[in-house]
Amino acid sequence: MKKFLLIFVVLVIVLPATIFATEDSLYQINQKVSDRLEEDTSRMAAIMEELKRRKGILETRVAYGEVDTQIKTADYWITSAAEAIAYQRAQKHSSKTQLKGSLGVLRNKILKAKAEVRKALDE
Amino acid sequence: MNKNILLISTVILVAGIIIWIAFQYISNNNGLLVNPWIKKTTNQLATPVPSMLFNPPKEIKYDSSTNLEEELEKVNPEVLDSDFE
Repeated sequence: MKKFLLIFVVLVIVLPATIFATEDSLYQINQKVSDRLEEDTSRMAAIMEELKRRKGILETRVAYGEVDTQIKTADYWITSAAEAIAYQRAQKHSSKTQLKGSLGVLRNKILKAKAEVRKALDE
Repeated sequence: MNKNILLISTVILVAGIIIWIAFQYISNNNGLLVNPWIKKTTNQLATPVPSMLFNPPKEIKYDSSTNLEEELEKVNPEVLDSDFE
């Protein structure tokens, strides 16, 4: 009985600390990877800005249903990737597997944006 | 005897929680042991600068001499196993 009580008290004190430490480290990993992916998105946005400047396009307004040129399509996907990164930053994850999965989805969105930017450059 | 042990453990646990809450409160007040019910004096510390929740992205700008295809090749989103170590 004494042993069970001792184990119970130790668990009550140690377990919350362990859980908080894990969540904190997953948060840090999430922010670190999101920073790196955001840099890729910023690079693609800068490429599109320069491309539009070279083509003399002053403004690209990307609205729902008005994505009718490749440049607008690329801008749409870059914006979508940037929003996905902001959403990812705000998420809380309970396990490494879950975090890896959601970062994998985010990576695919950035790759999609990259493919669209490539098409815009090839035009 | 078992009841006594349970009682002592509960008291220690509750005391630990109260001490933890007290330290949280003290750290939120920048270490000042000030009674919140007493009107503050004019000799107050400056408002601390809020810490950034994340690093803002680097600003990247290109010019007419930039090879945009080469720059696009640098875009390589990866999620590495080493990130999780």
